[in-house]
Amino acid sequence: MRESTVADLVQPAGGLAVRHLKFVGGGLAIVLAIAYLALTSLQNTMVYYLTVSELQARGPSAQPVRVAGTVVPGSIVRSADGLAVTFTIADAGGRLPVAYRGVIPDIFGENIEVVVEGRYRADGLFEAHTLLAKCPSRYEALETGR
Amino acid sequence: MSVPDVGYLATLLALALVIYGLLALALGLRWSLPDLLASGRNAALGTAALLTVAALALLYAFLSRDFSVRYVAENASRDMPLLVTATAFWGGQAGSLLFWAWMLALFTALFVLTDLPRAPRLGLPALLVLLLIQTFFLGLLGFVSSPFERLPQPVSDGRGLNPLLWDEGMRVHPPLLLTGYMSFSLPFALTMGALLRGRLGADWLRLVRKWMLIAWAVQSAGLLAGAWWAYHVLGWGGYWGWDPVENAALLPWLTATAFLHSIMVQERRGMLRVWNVGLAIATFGLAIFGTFVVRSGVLSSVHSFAQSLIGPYFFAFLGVSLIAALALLVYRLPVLTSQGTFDAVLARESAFLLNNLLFTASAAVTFWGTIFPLLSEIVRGVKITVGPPFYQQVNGPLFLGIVLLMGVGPLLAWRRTALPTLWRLVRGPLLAAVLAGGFLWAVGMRTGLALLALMVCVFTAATILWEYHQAVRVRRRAGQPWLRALALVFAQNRRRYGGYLVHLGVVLLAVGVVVSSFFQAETALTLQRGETFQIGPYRLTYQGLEPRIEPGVAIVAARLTVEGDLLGPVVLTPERRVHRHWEQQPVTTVAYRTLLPRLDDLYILLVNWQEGGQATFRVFLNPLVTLLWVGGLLLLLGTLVALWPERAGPVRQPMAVPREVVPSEV
Repeated sequence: MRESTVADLVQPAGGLAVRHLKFVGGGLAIVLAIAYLALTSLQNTMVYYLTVSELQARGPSAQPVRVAGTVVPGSIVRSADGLAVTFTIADAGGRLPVAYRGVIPDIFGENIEVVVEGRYRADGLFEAHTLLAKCPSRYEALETGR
Repeated sequence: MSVPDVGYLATLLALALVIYGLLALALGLRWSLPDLLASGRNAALGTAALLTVAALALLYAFLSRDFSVRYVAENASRDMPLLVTATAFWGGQAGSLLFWAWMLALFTALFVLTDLPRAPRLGLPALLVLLLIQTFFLGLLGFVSSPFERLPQPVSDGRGLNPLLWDEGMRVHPPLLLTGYMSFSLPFALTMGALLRGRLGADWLRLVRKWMLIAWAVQSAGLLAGAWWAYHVLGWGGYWGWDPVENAALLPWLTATAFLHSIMVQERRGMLRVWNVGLAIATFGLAIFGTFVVRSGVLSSVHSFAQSLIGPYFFAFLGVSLIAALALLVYRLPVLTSQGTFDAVLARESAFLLNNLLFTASAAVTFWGTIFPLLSEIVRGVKITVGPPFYQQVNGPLFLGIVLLMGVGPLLAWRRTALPTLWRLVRGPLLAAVLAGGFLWAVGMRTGLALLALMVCVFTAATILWEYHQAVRVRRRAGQPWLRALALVFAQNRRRYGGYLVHLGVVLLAVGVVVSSFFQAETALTLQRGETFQIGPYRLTYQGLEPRIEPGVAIVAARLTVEGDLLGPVVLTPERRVHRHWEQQPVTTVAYRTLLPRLDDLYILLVNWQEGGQATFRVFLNPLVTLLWVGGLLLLLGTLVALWPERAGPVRQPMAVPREVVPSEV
């Protein structure tokens, strides 16, 4: 690093433009790096959020997707240990059988609106690794099953 | 006239008074009429009194269980304990709005009483802006969403609050966050006031810093309380899920943190004025966005809400505020020219610039991810969501950079720092980081990213502790005993050493986040009574079920004993509770305990049980989560130190501290 003098501080060598170039250039490089990081992360982690009918129109795929629907009454079958559950979700466009293993949210139940995330298998079963349940009317509620 | 009617009337009178105050201030400022200005100022105080009456009226309606009021009937029920009934105040939209407006009125009154007399030329236009914001909220409360609205027919019992909200976390988390969102109005109003006046003076710098720091502290406390509530109530073993509503609360916090740092560059060097004004505007915008997201359901979130009518109003308010603020900024650009220039790359200014770049980048990326489903639906017709992995991948490196910068930044001098000087200051902490990394490797940690992150944390902690050590040593040399020397360090430069406490708290928080996210262990298993299993270094024995009945609640508790804690055997009793009216929704109550000496949280949920007493559990081992709460408290303590008013009059230290020991002031 150059020794600075008083004259330097008043009128630094290189001029304003050159010094600003260093800051602008460095800043731009960092911004571009962060933007690159954000875009690649987005591509790796983004998940389609579909309705049941949209999912069925797309067909089975290895790509994880998110689906929202309402739990069909009478379709819930819990395993004996309470750690897994199968059920059917439905919306105006169709029905989808779901198998899930993990923390089951307390508010999960019949006619509750849920969001499941997972894979739509070739045999027509949706294998969920995440189950989010929406509270029917209260302003704030609850998350489990990450 | 009944109490709820008094509350509604008070809201309407408050609205009328605010509008009167606005007119009085506007006319008084335009034609310099001291009587009108004093009257406008009193109107602000009167509004605070009226809204206090309104808030007390709503509280009374809750405590007396007045089910003729729709809001009370929707959020309270007879079997709710009294304390829970009081927290139902902010259980819904209308009450939250009233709370927001009430807090704004109280903060405004505080501002009028403490700061306005000393800085009227800035304070009066700022008050005008505060009253404008109040007008919007009081208008909503008066004509769109009133908590005092009556039901056509009173009901005998209300619906009650969701049992998951009965918890004590509900007593602190929502009001803190609502107050946090609200309090960003003050720095915004001060900034708009300064622009209206046409000058960002020393009074603006002093007041905007103070109020931004207060808002920042409240929002920090709200975020921490939210994380704590999620951790001990929601039962998924974590404390932060990158849910849109959580992100919305983090966003203004991020830009406010950037502001609190870049304002120092303006204070010192007279630079970054436009940028700082922009950050104050952005923070306010994001705070309104947060209030709006929580209350409107515009983004789908597991914090789901009743769909409501207020969304468009909020959107309009946000749009009008931002356009007006930016227009004013552009109009005043000529007076916002920078007084200094950036001289060298290796200088304190650059560290602040980088800090701001990282914080705003984090805010931008988080904002983008949060609204991405909305954007993709508009642009491509498909809803695409991003989950926690996205935020972790992007914010992880940014936050690591911020922690590193927290270590290096304070060592750099203003204007320029010579490389050898910097090397002399960082070599000790670097050595500490390398030693820590070696130790962690030796005890078996092989996760590269976690090792790197922890080494950065150790480096930064070492630089901060070294700074304290230096400061204390100078005063000890002057003959002060150790404790008094430490007290003097804080007393003589509260902002600097309070700030370091905040930094130290953040480092602890970072260590807790890194270790608990990389090394969480989780298992689910079914046990017979008397059966034992091992998780980590701990042995758990399931002793059996203990059902019991409390008023309005049926409870099944499972009893487990844990061996492996330094202080002897521990008993944990996870429960399932079924509340009356909420039979479809049993509440799982987590049992967890922080075990010594490793500070592991053993976190147990009762998932299910059978007739024979066989039970299924989900067990998490969360290492070092305690550091989050300790770090958070340290952060709040540090903020308090930094905020504490300096004693009146010049209090100069008995001996001057040589410049080479204290590289520069924060």
